[in-house]
Amino acid sequence: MTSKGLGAAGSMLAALIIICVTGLSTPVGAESTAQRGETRDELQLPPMMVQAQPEHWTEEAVDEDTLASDDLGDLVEHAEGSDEPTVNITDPLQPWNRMWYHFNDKVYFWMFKPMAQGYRVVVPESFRVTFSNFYTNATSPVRIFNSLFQLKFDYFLTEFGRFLINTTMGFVGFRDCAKDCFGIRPHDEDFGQTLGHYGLGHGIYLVWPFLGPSSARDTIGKGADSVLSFTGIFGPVDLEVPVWAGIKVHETVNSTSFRIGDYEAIKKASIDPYIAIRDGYAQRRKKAVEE
Amino acid sequence: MRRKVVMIAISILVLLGGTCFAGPALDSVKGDVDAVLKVLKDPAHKGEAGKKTKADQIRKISMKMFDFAELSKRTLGAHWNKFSAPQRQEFVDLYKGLLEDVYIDKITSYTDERIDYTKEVQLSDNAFEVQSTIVAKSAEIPVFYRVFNKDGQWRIYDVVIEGVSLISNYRSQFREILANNPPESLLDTLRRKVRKK
Repeated sequence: MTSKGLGAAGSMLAALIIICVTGLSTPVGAESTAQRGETRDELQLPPMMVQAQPEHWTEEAVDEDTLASDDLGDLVEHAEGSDEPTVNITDPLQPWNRMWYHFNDKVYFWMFKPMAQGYRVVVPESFRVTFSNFYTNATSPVRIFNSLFQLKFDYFLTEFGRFLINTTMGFVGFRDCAKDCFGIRPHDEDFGQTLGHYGLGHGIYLVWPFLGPSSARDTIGKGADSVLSFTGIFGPVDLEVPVWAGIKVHETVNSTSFRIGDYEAIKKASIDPYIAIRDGYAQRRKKAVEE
Repeated sequence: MRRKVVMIAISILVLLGGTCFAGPALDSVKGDVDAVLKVLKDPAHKGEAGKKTKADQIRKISMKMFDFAELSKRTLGAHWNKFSAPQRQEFVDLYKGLLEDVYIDKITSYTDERIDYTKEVQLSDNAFEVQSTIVAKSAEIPVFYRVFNKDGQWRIYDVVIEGVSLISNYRSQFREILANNPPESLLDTLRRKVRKK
């Protein structure tokens, strides 16, 4: 035997322990728990907490039920959290975008919401999930090609495998067998993300009628992706326009039926829903590009 | 023999791999969320009256789960220092009220979704991100809780849902107001928002 085998196993172990200790997270174990205890004591008070109270401080101002007195002290410069970067997207066309935001707001409340509410009553959830699977499978080429464009070969293989499995065993995509039977999860990739992956920024924020939040970059991405999806490839060519429009409306109503109440919650939660949605879009797209 | 060694090594790796991503921050968040779920699933609370009892109990748990002062500071960032002590206190209370209104309403409609806890990731000396996924029939929603250690307790200062951080989302909204207006004007907007319901 096999010092070689031992050596290899040993170095794998060492690598894992290093990963565990340095940062990804903390191993659970007697020794490391003891270490944790020590560091925790040192770190108990972040700098902003031990800051002296400002002069105008009055004890009466504090609701004793809720807060310790030093909780409301000044933020120290460069304290954790004082300069957290905000994801930004430039919005020079704000009045124009706001107009379309209000238009889409009405489209939702007057059209898609009532339609989706009725649809939800008539069509059982399992059927709606089935349709949702079908539409997701139909856009597989978008994810397959964009994974390839970004040289993410693992995503490319999983998406290609998902497409093959779901198109065959999943009855043309109506069942997400890749996930249900094999546990293969989808990875969302689109051409906007591909452009972002190679360093292209959003340009400007844009709100489109019916389609909602987007950006200059992601609008180009949507255009490119529509060529890659099946409705893009076959839709305008083989189908009559009303049929194609009907499919689009059904897709929208079907997906809306799962999300009734989400937009209402965002509106209720925000001071300025337009800004909340714009910021949410920028944050979500940033994460999507990074993944 | 060699095969045996490799097998042992692999099983140790698997065992370690399993525990590597769990930790005290994750356990703490999971405990708190489980407490909320227990209230939600309690068959004793039914109907409108039950909903109010649930909301009250969840509010109590959330006081322990969240650190609203820390949440407020991180949301306002540098603007925090422009607020006087009473203004800070009022801001924390109003912000807390706003979040409670919205989220308690939302989670009391919770049905039978499953929650998976993936791992915890260290963000800084004192802060961790506990990653979880809410698994519903139609979608999987990643929900990450950012917690910091305060006097030995893990308290939440941010929640990131589908990549959108709660505090930076509010920061971008508050900043629009605070850019050209005094703190009082933000407080006034919040007062109207929270009382209106």
